[in-house]
Amino acid sequence: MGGVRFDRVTKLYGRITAVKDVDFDAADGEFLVLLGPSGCGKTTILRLAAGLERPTHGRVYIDDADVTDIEPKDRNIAMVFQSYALYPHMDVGENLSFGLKMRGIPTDEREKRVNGIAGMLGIEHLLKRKPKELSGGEKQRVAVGRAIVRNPSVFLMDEPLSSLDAKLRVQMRAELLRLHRELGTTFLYVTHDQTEATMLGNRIAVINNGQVRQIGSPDEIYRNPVNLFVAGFIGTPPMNLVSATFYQKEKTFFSLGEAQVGIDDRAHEALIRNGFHVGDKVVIGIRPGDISAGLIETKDEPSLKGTIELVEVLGTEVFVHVQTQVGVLTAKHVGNLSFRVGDAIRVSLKQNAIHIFDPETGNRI
Amino acid sequence: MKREQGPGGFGSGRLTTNFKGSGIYIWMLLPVILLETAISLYPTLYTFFMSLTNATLRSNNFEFVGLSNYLRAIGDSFFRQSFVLTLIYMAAAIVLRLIAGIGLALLLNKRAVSATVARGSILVPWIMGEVVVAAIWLWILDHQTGLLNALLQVAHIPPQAWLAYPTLAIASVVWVALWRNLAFSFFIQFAAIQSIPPDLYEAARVDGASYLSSLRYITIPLIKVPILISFLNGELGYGAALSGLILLGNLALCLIYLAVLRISK
Amino acid sequence: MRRHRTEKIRQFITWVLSVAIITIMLFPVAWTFLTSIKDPAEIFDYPPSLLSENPTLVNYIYVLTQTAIPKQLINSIFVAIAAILITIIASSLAGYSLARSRLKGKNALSLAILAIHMVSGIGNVIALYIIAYQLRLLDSLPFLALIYASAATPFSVWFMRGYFEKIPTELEDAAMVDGCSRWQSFFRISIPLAAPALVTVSLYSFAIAWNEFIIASILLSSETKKTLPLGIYSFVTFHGGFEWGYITATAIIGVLPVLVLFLSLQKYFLAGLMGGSLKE
Repeated sequence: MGGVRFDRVTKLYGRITAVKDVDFDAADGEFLVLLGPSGCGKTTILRLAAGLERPTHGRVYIDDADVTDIEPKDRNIAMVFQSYALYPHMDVGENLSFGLKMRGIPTDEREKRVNGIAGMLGIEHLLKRKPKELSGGEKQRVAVGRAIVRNPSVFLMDEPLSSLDAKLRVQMRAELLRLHRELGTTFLYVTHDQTEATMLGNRIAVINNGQVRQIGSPDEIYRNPVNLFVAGFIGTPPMNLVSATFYQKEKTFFSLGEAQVGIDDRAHEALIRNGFHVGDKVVIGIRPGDISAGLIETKDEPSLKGTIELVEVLGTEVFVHVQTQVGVLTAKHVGNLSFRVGDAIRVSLKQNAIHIFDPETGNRI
Repeated sequence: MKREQGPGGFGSGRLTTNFKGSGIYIWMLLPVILLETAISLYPTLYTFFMSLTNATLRSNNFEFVGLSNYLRAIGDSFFRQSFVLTLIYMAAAIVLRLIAGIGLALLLNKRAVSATVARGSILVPWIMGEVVVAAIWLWILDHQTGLLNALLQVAHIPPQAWLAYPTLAIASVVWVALWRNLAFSFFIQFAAIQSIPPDLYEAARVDGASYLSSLRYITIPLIKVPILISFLNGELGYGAALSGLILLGNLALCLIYLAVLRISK
Repeated sequence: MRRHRTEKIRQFITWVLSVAIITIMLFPVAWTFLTSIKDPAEIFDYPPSLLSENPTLVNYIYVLTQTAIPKQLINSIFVAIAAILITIIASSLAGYSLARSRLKGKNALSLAILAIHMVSGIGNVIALYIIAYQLRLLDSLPFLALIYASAATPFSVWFMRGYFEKIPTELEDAAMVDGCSRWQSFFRISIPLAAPALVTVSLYSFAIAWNEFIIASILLSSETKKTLPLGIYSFVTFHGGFEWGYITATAIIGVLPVLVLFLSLQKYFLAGLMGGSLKE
């Protein structure tokens, strides 16, 4: 059993920086999800943990031991690849037992463990088949089986569910959670799917451009995104991000088109501390759920008028995209009014739910 | 053959690095480098070096004579003639083999039994030795006792001296070379054509392409590399002892070929 | 209906052309075989008869009992096997290295290998003779095998490289995570997966080693060291003119096993060719 720790790890390919100053610590038994858009470097981080890539700078620790210079085979890790990487010339049983064989485990022991795992995953009937005779879901199970049969101290998973159809993905997600609970092993899990990340992870590390942008529990990341990237990346539909100006009359407020969004003392203090002056621009973020769309102006909330551009029905939830003076705002609609594209409407913002960001650095204020 | 580059390419399918650096890869290259240096490169350089001297097989003493061997060769009308004939032969053999290889590969790219047998039959001359091929064709083409003239006789065509007149002789030699060496070119093109995904042709048909334009815009561009390979594995290096000049001819041909490829790209 | 008919016509044309190709390709070979079972007296009949009136094996019996052909057959088998082994070892290692490494200049190197192949050839024969003479390697079959391997290797390296590039690197990554060293993952994963390509490369190397004549004729002089093509040629020079019966019988002896080998491996040969990176 063991955790995984990255200490300021950087990976360069020639002049291209794939991973930059990555620092994180996945505790023993934790399910840590690396979440980010494609090409952000999350897979490279996983491969660095596996030992398939060697960092240009920094150290990698598994179970508190420095493994930076240790070959993958000596790291006691197992990996599930995006393409599953099942050996096409071996049958399922041989695929499962290959790792044990390479570690010199005797045949009868191998057989016992392979059969145990096959039973656990419900693939006993597939043991004599070749990978090309398996369906996508079956391949996925075999790939997972191949990883757990070795009883490693860390599991590395590279988008293991991405090539499954939606229904199977939901089912496998639940199964991975069950596995994690039963095995109690550290999981390092790469995905670009935030639903998957939020469902699976104890913590999520949001990655962009090779850097960890924020690391925290799914809830924390959703509620308190520390920068514009995380704010814009997490949440469906994404957070509304609009430019506003910092003003002061009797009170301080942000001017957002015709609306005036009040600033509480804490936020005001933070603005001053960060060197903002009256007249400066900031970026205001507000989740669609914190905007309501209606026909009349609400007295105590700042509101903007606009026209409906798009009505998006996602199951039971309805999102309205409204063109306003400051750009398109997405609002979650809760009432039972029916909207049509082109209707004039007012959107009201929940004042205490706004997030304030520095437009220069992108950091939260 | 191109690898994905740039930040977008970091997702998957990239080269694997090894812990001990690149050491193992260099070791893996060693046998080929040793083999080719000792058996191909060194003799080539040696030949070139000797071509600049007046060495003979019988004596150990020689001195540098610069390019005079080459000048003598160029001055020799017999050499000039054989050089020109060699070039004609090479150009004809290579071009015909390419065309025949592609043409037959397109023709025999079918499931029919006859096509399968025909593919197998193309392989047969290639595995017959050069000596056997030469002897058999010498006999078939013989002016007096040859099979071909016997067949012509049946069709009431007067017998031809296939190997006596320069034009006919060159044509005969080109034909025999084509017959024997077709297999390599054919199989490479055939394999390449077979591995072109059929949806490409379907897409082209939906886009309104005729048979010829899908040949022009899909098949040929996708088999460029096999064309190059069958070209490189052609007659190059064969047919002349004075390889220096032949080499120049080959290089010129190769450059022209590469230029054409680039234009068509 | 109309479409059906053009389809039929097309099939018919394919059939006719296929039969024509088969005839052109196989007729000289068939002629070789038919001649080999003719009585020496019958061979020079003109116009020649296609089928012998009384087929005989005298040519085969003579060639196999009265000449050095059996010994030369063994020599050829030795040279071919040695050449194949050297070719597949050298080309699979180098092909893998060129496919997987990030060495600078690897493309330059693979072009250089092909370039060497282009410039070397028959033109090297004198130099090879002198080298063999100086190293006391005249009449050496291993040296000849080395020469054939070096001729077969450049294409083979390119070919293996293309094939290895098609094998997902993830499989080797998985093997390394599963406990393989890089060498183990090469031998246990990459090599088995490249088996069709190894068949292709072997057959290619074989075709060169089995049939090459000119270099062998210059390097080999003693009768017991000669390879099969030289054995066939000896019926041209030493027995006065063309001994067609012996030539054809020896040719058939040389071709038959090869034919069986090639046709039975044709599937892998093609699979190898198709898997290789012959496209961009």
